[in-house]
Amino acid sequence: MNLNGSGPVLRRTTLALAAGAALISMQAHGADDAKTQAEGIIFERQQVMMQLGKDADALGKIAAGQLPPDRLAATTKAIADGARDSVEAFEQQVPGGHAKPEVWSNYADFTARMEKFAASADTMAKAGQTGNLGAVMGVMVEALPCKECHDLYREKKKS
Amino acid sequence: MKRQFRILTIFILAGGLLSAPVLAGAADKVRVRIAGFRQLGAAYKGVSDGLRSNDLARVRAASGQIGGASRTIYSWFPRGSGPQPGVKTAARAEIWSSAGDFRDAADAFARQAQAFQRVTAGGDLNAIKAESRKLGATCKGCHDSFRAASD
Repeated sequence: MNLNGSGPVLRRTTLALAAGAALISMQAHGADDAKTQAEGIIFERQQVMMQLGKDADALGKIAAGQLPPDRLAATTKAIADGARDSVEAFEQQVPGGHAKPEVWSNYADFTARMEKFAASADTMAKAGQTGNLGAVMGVMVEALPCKECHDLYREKKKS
Repeated sequence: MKRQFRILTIFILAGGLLSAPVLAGAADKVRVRIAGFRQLGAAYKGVSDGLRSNDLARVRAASGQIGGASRTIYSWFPRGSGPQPGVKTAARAEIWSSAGDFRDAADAFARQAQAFQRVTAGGDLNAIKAESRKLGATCKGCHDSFRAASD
């Protein structure tokens, strides 16, 4: 076996193997990083939706007289802010969490509903700033179409 | 028969009296944990709101709170504070039955919280956003494995 001419070949092979390994490692690292970023985005939107749920619950309690009415302005504003945040939270189209695949396959309809929700929540917040509970109740159903959207676009929670 | 009934009643009452402090202790531990997580959730919201409005001071303050909480989070889960009759908690039993995995997850969160706090000291918003998502991913990782799904 003649090894005299094998030096450059061996070096080239080693370099090629090392480069390949580095590339695979970079790709794996990149995939890991992309997955981590995606999980972070999903978590952000889950937090936004969870806060919205809490604020909507608080508004229900104000309407039922279980919480003081002086919280009306702050609560309706929090809902309006949360609604706007929720629109932004779904701008990055990352599947996962409790979002049904239909969110992304019917994205135009989904975003139209979210925009309408944000606009209605804004209207409700303006009514809330006056402290008039009756005015808020008048627009509440339209401002909080939570179930309608959840039925279409959120996976049923496991019991 | 009457005597047996009396003995049974005494046993039930004694059992109730003995278990009451245990349940109260567990409920207190759960309350401490819930309070801690509420503060943590508020701080995380501070990060998100701060990033949306480019309010770096708010992000830094919130990252400090998260960093502080991350150092103590493991202590929010003492033995005896898990799911049990009479105690409402979203903490899953796996926290204690797979304690090593939970510790790893809590440590990963703490490491990322410190990394996030470090990056907020700079002014690179894109880097801060990227690290905040990594932080969110460590939160989600733990929630997915160790927190019961809420209604």
